Amino acid sequence: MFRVLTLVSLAVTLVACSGTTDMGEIRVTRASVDTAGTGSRLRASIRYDFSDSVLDALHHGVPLTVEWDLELRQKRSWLWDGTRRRIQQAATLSFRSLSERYVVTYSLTEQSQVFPSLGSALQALGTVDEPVFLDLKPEDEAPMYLRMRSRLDLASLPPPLQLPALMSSDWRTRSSWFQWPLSPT
Amino acid sequence: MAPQSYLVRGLRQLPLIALLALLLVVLYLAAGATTSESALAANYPWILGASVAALIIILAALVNRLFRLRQRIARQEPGALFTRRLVIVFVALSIPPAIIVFAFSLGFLTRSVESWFNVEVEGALDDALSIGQIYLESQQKVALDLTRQIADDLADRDGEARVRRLGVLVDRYGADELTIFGAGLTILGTSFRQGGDLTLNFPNNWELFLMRDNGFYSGADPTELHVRVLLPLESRAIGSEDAVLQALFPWPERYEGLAQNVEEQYESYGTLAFLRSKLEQSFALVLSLVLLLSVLLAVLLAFSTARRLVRPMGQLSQATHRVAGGDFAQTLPIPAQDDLGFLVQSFNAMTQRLSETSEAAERSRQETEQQRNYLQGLLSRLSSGVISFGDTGELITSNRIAGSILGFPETLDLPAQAAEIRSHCPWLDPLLNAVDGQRGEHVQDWVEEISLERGEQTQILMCRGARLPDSALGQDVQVVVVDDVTNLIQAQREAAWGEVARRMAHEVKNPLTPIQLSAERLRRRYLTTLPEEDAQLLDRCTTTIVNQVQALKHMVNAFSEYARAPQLRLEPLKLSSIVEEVAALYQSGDNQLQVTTHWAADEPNIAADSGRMRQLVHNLIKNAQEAVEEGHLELAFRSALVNRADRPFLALTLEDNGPGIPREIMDRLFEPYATTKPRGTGLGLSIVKKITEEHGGTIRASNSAQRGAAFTVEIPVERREKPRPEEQRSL
Repeated sequence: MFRVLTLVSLAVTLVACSGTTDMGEIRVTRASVDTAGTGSRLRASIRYDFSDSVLDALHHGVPLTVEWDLELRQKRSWLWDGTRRRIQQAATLSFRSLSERYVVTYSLTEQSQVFPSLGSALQALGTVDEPVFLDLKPEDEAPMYLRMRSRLDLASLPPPLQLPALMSSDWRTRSSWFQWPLSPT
Repeated sequence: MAPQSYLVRGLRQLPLIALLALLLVVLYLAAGATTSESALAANYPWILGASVAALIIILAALVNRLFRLRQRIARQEPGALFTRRLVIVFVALSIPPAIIVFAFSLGFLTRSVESWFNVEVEGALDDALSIGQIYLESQQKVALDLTRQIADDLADRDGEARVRRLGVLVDRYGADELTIFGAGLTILGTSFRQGGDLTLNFPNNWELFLMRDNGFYSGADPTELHVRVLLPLESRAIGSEDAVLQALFPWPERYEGLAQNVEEQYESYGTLAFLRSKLEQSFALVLSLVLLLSVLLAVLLAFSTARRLVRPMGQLSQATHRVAGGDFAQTLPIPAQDDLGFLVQSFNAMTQRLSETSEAAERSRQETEQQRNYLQGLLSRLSSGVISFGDTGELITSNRIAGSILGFPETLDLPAQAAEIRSHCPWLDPLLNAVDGQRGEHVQDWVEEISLERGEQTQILMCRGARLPDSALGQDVQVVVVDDVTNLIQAQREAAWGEVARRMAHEVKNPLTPIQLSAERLRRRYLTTLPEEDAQLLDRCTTTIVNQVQALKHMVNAFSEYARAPQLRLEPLKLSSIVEEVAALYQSGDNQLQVTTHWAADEPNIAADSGRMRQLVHNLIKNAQEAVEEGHLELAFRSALVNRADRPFLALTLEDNGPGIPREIMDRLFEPYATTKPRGTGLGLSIVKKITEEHGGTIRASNSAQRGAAFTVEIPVERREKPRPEEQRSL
């Protein structure tokens, strides 16, 4: 029994200690929702700065899926703020070794874009210009605000990589919430 | 077993079944861990986490059970040691093969993972990819050259002519699409290959940026499988420099499939190589979890199995203890139709048989006890004494009457050795000697009359002995029935004397009167006629005859009185009054006697014939008077209340100051003519005894150490008289 426990703890330790060279970062640098006109449009810039471990996995054929979440929230006096609407989209970044191109595929439209460099692909990945439906109602009186964040989806990684990714700070990449008030129409 | 019991047992096993299902899921995930195609792949960490949680739960349950097992062992509960042994056996049986399988599986998986990677394969894939890249680069150069030719062709044209020319050039150069973009990617003209996809394919900003930076852009699009070439289009005709020519050339058809295959294999191999250590770690982790879960489940199963086995065994043990304690009414539920169930079934059959046997034995014991009580009751009520002796002469049993007849002391504990009996009761020597003489296997039944000398009295016993087997003692015992025939013999003598007296009264009394009359007639006739000398002789003879006849008459009357059976007229009377009345007669005259009395307080009446009682007292006083011929007669009367066989008697004791009763006549003192006195008929005490017995009483005589003889007459108290308890004295 002791030997088995030792093996398990050793395996967990090995997994946890693997790939700790540097830490990546995801940051929402700018976000706004233009509600003028007939519909709303989200414009945001997200900076994806992945760690070497993540990029190493990308260049070894592991596709990276990033998600961004947009929440419309309503302030409440006595309770925590309520989420009126949540919009989530994802895109996958992959590397094609034959053509040495980076491909960004958007899950919503299933359209792909090909980029000759990682920087151009990450910039395209971080540039959000999407129509969004916030379902705003005229009777909404309480002050509302929007917030946005982005993260690397570890569940889409190959299973052997998921547990080490969960235990490694290189992979636990998630931005903090970027919050701004909803401008009155 | 009831269906509800099965349901409860099933519910109890539910956590175990859930854990087993989780174990299978982990195994399934481990099998599909190399690919992302598993449906549960996205939840892989959570399932692993659930496995660890299940592991912790099982570990906690195991620690709890081990702790409880330790407490049970400390309390020495039945089955605790068996549970510990079973757990040890389960662990010893499960861990080595599990570890072996774990080690071999880990080694096998590691070697399998290593076998996926091969330097030659890796090199070949790199070479194939390089070839593909080289070919793709050449295609890009060819496409760039072709696009430059197209741009030159279009340089001298503008407007509609240019657009129409695009249609010609598309087919001439084999492009999928030729498009001229203006400022802001406005479409100035486009042409598609005939039969091709008509969807316009825009370049992205980076491609445009590279085109402007380098003067051209030529790159392969892995998604659309074509080569995109971007060239700034100079139009000599329109002078516009913002126009961009985009030409899309398809990958060669044969190359397309090969390149895709090479790329997929290369990327798959690269991914596997990248995940190699992770795969091994993942396998090790999953296998470790499986190993731990298997071992812990085995231990839990050991506990569960032990509990199922121990519960009926514990019940069996407790039931056995109760059976050993004499409680045979034990029936256990049959756990299952297996060996243990067969054992429990046999135990139930055994206890049922034991119970029946015990009940039969109890009935038999009760019957024996009843018979023994009946026999003891019978023996205690027998007028005969019954005693039994063992092989070595020890006294084994004795009934109450035997103790009374033989005079056993109350302190004598049975069984008692012969020597002990002889020391306590020396008068029993003749009896014990007789019993000793009858020992031996050849002796069966015997009858012997034995005389015991108890003080001044002789006790005559009629003993009948027999050898009886005693299964309880495992030996033969000699049972002796003892009858005290002293009174019987006495009664026989008295009956004989009564017959003698009756015959004497009848045969002797009749001729006496003629004899007396004849003698008186001779005297009257010849006394005066005979000479003086003869007359004197006649006078002496006739006087003698008359006197002797008177004496004979007196004696015959006495015998007649002895033989007479008068009709008693019983009436309540105070015996002390009778005594004082008769004694008063003797206190008058010259020969006065001194009488002292000590009567019982609140003396009860007796039912007696006053005349016969007076005669009794008279005879006693007269007997004492005759015994003390010389000197002053002193008589002491006293009375007391005694119990004889639970019946109250008034005991009247008379003590004189005479010489006492000679030992030689003590045994026949109350028989007629049993006298040493010079005077008297020898019938006085016989009549006293007769009157006493007529009233249902007894009389005994003894010699007092200080005074002379002592006679005690015990007469039953009148039944209407209820003596007070404090006045009773049990003798």
